[in-house]
Amino acid sequence: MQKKRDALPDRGAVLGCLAAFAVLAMLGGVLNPYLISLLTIVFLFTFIGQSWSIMLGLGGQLSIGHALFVGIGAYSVAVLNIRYGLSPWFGLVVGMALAATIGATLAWLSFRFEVRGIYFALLTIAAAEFSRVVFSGWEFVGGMQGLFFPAQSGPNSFWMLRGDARFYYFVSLAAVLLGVSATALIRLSFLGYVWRAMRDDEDASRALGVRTFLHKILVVSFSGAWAAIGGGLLALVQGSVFPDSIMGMGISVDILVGPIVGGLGTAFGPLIGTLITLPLDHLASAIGNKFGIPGLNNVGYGLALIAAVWLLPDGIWPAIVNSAKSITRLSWFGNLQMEQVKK
Amino acid sequence: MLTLWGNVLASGILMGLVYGIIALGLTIIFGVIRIVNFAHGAMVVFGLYVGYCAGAWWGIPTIVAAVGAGALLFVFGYGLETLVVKRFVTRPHHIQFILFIGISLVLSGAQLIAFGPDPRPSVSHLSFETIAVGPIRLDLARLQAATVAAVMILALAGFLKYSTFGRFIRAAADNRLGGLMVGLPIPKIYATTFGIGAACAGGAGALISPLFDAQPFLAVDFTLLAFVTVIVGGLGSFVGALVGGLTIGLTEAFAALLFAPSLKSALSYGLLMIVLIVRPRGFFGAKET
Amino acid sequence: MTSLKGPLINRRVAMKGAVGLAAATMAPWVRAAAPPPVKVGAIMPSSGILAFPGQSCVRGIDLGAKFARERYGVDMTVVHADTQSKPENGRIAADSLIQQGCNVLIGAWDSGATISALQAAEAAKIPMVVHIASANQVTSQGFTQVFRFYPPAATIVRQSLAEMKALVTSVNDPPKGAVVLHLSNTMGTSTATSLDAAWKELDLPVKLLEYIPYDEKARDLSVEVAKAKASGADALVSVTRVNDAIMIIRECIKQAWNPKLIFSPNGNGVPDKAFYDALGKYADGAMSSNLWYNPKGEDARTIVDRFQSTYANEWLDANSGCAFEAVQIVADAVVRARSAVSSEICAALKATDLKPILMYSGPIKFDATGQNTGAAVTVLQAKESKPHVVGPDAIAEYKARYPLVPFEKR
Repeated sequence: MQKKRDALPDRGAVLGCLAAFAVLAMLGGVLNPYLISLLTIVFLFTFIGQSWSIMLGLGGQLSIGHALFVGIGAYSVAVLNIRYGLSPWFGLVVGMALAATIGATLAWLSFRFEVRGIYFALLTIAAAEFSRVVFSGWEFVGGMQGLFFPAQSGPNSFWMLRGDARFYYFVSLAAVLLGVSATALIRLSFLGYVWRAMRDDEDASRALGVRTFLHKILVVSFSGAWAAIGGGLLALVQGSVFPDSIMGMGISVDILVGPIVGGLGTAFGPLIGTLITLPLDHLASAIGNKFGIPGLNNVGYGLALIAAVWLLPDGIWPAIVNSAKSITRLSWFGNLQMEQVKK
Repeated sequence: MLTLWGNVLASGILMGLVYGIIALGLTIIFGVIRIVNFAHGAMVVFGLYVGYCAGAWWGIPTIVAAVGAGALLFVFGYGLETLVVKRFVTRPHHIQFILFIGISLVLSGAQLIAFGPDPRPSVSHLSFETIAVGPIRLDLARLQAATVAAVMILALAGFLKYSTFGRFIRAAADNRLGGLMVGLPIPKIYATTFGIGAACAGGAGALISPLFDAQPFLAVDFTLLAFVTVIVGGLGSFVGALVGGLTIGLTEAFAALLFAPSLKSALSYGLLMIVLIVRPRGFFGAKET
Repeated sequence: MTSLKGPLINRRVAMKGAVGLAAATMAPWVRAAAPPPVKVGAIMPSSGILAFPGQSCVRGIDLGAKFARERYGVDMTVVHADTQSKPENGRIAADSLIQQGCNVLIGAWDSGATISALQAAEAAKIPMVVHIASANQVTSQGFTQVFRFYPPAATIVRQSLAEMKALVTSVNDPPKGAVVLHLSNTMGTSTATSLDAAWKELDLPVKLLEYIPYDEKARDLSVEVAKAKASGADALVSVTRVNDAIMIIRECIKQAWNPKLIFSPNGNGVPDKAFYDALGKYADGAMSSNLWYNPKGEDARTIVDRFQSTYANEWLDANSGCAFEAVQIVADAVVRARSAVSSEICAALKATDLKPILMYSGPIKFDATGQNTGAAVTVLQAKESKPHVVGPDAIAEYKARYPLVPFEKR
């Protein structure tokens, strides 16, 4: 548990954070299209990673099937927009509601029957794969043939969430800012303390009067709804949805690498982690292509992942914070430091 | 019609046993070290390639190749545990998950570099042969895999039950701390267990090489398959792996016969969810972790 | 990859083998002033699940670029980008290539990555030649920079069934009933859907008994084949990838099912090396219809030999063939535009009317949506560990053998 004096963010830290985002926003105006589209995907994966990171880093529930929620969000946006011409905003809201409901149901079922720890993680894989196969066979949502958004033409439209690459850059950057603030606020709020207490010792917190069953359902469904927004945006950026790519194991794995490498449960960890890992993957792939050895990227990326969890067990962000703390005293950053996650 | 049902039943049982042997390595490692080897599929594919090379380059029979693959992967697994995995045994699940995803990527990437992306089919004559028992045809490759699975399980069970080192392993599985206190060589036990688990994965891979064509990116499919099998049967139990395999094999076979075949994997995942919720430790699951 | 070493080395290396070729064909294009240097970006899934077709396409691109340099005198540089088989990377790859100065793009094999890459192409107004991508939506979503060589599934299937009809009406003892065993993935489902319509439209004299879809991740097709056998069909129509095609034939052998005809419209297996490695003599007789090179084309022999000498262990298959052709389409447009400016290449592509160099096809022309209207299929039959073209008659190497020799008698 944190000490009380850490509870309120330092004004300097907030300013520093805003300055960082201002720089990223300005970069959006000057970067070349390649970096713009790369960073857009980085931000979207960060945003989805943040939702996953909240669930494990604060709630203590490991999910390896987050693609389920991502897919639900993506499909809600795609179906409502493509089939009925509705604004993606409706899709996002519907997707959130659906993902929250599905997350709550899944959590209710499993925690009711005392499924926990690694078994809960495996259940999330099963649920994601199950829905992937169901969506593959479901004609209405396009089945395996997927759904496609029409080509973007005309001016950017905030209402229809359609625009050029820079437009999506700012949209996804805004999403990340929202994610960082939400994470920071939750950590400081009553919920954050309850969730961390529950994560660290479920029985003890129950003895102290925390309704852990309810809170576990809450954290899963909250995280699911959050991931659904990310999924909806990802579908728009990608221009198409396919069950295999948006609901497959690939997404579930890709989104959790960033937060773990960056620092679990922290406000900035997912962003830092994804900013490092995703471009690294692309770099490795470019090098592999340069030498005409596809597969080199997998080896390099795999080794990088092993090295990351080996050398920086708590993630990069906490390591930065610790070294920064020894130089200056930034109490709010200190607050963001991750505590050991116990299982 | 009856012949069709009989054949489907036979094929379901044999395929189930094959699933069982694929999953065996995963369950051994979990049972003792309590870590979930997400690189399991990559190790199975490793074995597939050994089976392919043995058959295509040197004309070695599948069953001999399986022994070779087992030995090779035992060394690999032992080394991997001693050098890397050891440091992660007491770490949280998600860290282990990333570690194994990393290992799996390295293996798949290496396979892609070494063999290219083309499917490498076995050239074993086993791929085409069957034995007729009345009107029912039994697939020889599956029969062989299933028989070896049974033998391997018996041998392993015997080893664990009667040999001294087997007793050590069981003791370590029961209570790591207690084992350490009475002076069990825990590091050696863990490394050996991981080696055995990897060897099972590799051996299984070589054994099924007449059935599946080796391709680098099959790893995820095999990992998922092994999960479904093991969880239905119960993580950490030998018998569970076989029973889980049989359950999945039969469910898939009859789902393909009675409903749309394309939905058969949905059915096995559905089954998995139900089992996880109702009986999270599976049919023969180990105790709470 | 050789193409990255720069045009000089390539040209020199290439010239050795090509002097004869250039002299023999006396390409009329060469006389014009040399077209300006052009940079072509190739987006392929070189790693990940789709690495197999992806790398095959890369080979086709590289060989195609060498060929185009000699044939058209185009100073062409190829830059490759890998999507890792993930759709979201299509756009990143496209933007990266555009950033590196590519004037025109080729890609991206799977429809998801193609659509994603097209968005970047659309924004930068860089034309993109889609060598392969099957979804109808690639050309129906209003993209203005798309030029797709590959025909939509419906076209392939209709042409395939027309060929099949020609076959079954010309033989004694034609099959009576057919069962369709198809993948339930993007390619399989769209093919099966068009199959149903085309079968009725063409009024095939074979009765369509049953559809059996199976999952892409299926590890075992014994039940599916048992079901097919039990349906009483004597013709097997399958829509498969290589692995499944092999699995199906193995199951047919194991279950002693000997259909008279195995035909795979728009299917893999028969065109692929792995099929023969796995099945040996059992592969013979199986048929498929694919986009394939025209064995009687002027340059086909030379190109195939070149391919063989460059990539000894690989085959020139439909993937590399389409990629090769796409490079020629680009080169042709660059020559006609006499410019490396994207908008002018795009205009030239719109006016394309190209006699195909390698593939069997009608004249390559793009309609208003960017769809090639000339594409045509060939029928292949496996014989002695190689696919042979047996249809359409004009380019057939020999007349298709029918019926299939029962497996146990081989």
